[in-house]
Amino acid sequence: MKKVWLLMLILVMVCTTVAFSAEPKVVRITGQSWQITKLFLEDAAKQFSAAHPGVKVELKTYADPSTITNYAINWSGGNTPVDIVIIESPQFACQFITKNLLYSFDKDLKFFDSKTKRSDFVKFCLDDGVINNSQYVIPVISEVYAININKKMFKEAGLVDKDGNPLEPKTWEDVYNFAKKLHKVENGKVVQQGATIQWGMNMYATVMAVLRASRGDIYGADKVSMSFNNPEFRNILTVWKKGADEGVFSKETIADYNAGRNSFSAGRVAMLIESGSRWFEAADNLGKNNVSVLPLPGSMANGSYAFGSGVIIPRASKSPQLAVQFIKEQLLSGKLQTRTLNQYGKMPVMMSHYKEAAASEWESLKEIMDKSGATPKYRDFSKYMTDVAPIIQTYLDGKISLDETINRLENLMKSLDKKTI
Amino acid sequence: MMKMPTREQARKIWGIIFVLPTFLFIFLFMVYPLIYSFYISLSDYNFVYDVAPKFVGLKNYFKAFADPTFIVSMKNTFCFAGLFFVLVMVISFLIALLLYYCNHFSWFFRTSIFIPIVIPISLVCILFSWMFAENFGIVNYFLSDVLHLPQWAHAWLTDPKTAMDIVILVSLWCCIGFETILFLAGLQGISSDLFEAAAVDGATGWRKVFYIILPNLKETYVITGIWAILQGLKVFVQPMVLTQGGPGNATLVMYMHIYNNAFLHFDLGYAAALAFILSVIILFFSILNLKLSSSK
Repeated sequence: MKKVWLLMLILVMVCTTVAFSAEPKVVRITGQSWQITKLFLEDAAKQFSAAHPGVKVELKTYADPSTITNYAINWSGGNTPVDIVIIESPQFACQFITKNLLYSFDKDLKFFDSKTKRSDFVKFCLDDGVINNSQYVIPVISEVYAININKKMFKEAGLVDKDGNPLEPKTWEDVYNFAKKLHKVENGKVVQQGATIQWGMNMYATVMAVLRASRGDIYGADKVSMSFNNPEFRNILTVWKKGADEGVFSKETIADYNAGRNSFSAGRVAMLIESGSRWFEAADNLGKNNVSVLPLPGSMANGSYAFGSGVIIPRASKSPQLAVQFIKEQLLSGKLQTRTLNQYGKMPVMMSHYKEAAASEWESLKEIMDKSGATPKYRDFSKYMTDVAPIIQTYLDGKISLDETINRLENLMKSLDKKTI
Repeated sequence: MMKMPTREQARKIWGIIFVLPTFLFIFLFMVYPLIYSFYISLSDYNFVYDVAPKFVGLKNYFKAFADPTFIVSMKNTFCFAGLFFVLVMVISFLIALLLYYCNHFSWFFRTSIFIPIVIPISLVCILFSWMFAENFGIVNYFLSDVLHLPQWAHAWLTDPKTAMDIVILVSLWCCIGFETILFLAGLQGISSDLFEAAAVDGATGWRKVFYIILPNLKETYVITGIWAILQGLKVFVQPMVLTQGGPGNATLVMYMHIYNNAFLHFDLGYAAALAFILSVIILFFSILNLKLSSSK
């Protein structure tokens, strides 16, 4: 009798262990509300649950990229309220890697297989998620810096070729001259802004975009530090200052980094130099035939600044394989990626998903994106992000000279800890 | 045989038991974090990349005073706090005086003055940033299209000469209501006998204000003064939402610099040192206000 009881006890223990060691059938995903919307995650969650009976998908939102740092507290203790975190840029993953809080998609989760190959991705998008030679971030959507234009304004200003296509500025002097022609002032009031450049809190991205486009490389001779002291960037800053002083380049993004985007959508700006998805957003207001996008001077050959949202999976997650399945089946599906592109202008990360792009401009942007380099993964990259804007804004206000600006930027770069994690 | 506690001892024991939860709460959530953050301020500690804090003594404090960005933020904070303090105290007092003497529809005016307090400051700042936007803001539209004064339309938030002024203006809009209510309460606390005696002595109009009202509001100055000092020196939301500290660093305040170092750069040691420096400054001005308000 005792042996029977003992056997039953062992059986119960084994069953319990098996039950608890199996992955829970729930995937919890968090992202900012715009990511939940533009990635159609609610639809994706329903489809995944329908395709996998018994599996639940929970969506949560976080307010701001800086708040995801708080997850480190949970993850350090082996707990997590989420299984997939959608981050705004791979840079946000770096903070978790030192303490080994993330799964590596290639080394731990064997993400790449015969159905999902590395070569299926746009090379830049995947490379940007590699940190310390491991794929910690899988990209889901991407954007690239370009010149969003109002075609109707270009036509009215005569800035079109014989076929009626908008002329492409080849240099920054061209950008300034175009802006001057497009700029309209009536009774002392600006009724049409020539150009708005992203000079607000995303100035760091604009600087990296113009550096790469003009020089082919953002780095100096050591291939580690970004270099600002070069004739190309000096020329760009000079043109910016001239345009800002004359009012043809608006400074409205300094106070509100969305001001340029809003003004462009309202039909008040002829050229908007920032993410190359803004023209598409404005199409509903301005008409699809009245908006387009042009490359930054030099970017067709050298690339620009590309960035995008990606996903990470914490080691504390109890259902990493289910999370990987959701990523492959939903987030990287042709249906979702194409829908995101054609509805919101967020570019797909897989090569094949451009075939159903509704607009021809996406091919050019994809070409630019593929030539763009990965964002530096400095430990102090956040200091570069916050400190570069005030230096250049102070220059644009005329408070410091060009040489002083370059000195300050170079000193900023010297002061950064450029170790990668 | 165990000795029974006396009544006095029993009272003491019960007193300790009742005070203990509050004491534990204060210790765990106020005293201990204060002590630990002081220790962190004496350490080199990056929350993300360092395993543990490394003691470096006063290095972070010396670094602060050699940091040009911190010096600029301190200058901006004092500039903001000084102007804000004077304006909020004077304007609130004047409005409170008007409300005190208002005999008709006073409930309406009091409610209108107080409403800005209940609206979240961040929301107010977003609305004002749209209103003062250069190209599509209602202020510039009103100036150029309604009043036909386009020369007065301005890049309010992107011009370093006017950006801080707008931050102060928005802060006043948000805070005047609360200070006014405090002053009004103080005014209503002044005995009417004093006013009657003053009237008998021939004191009228502004003489009543200077010789009766102002001297009798000393206790009110303590509260309104400390509150205004705190709002001035601890300003964060308004420059963060309106201008993000720009243009350049024209509206960067100390709180923002602390936030950037702690939560964007993860440099907790340095951020803690900056926070303690700010705390000492706030304490100094609060004590000064207390001394001035209580002196004869």
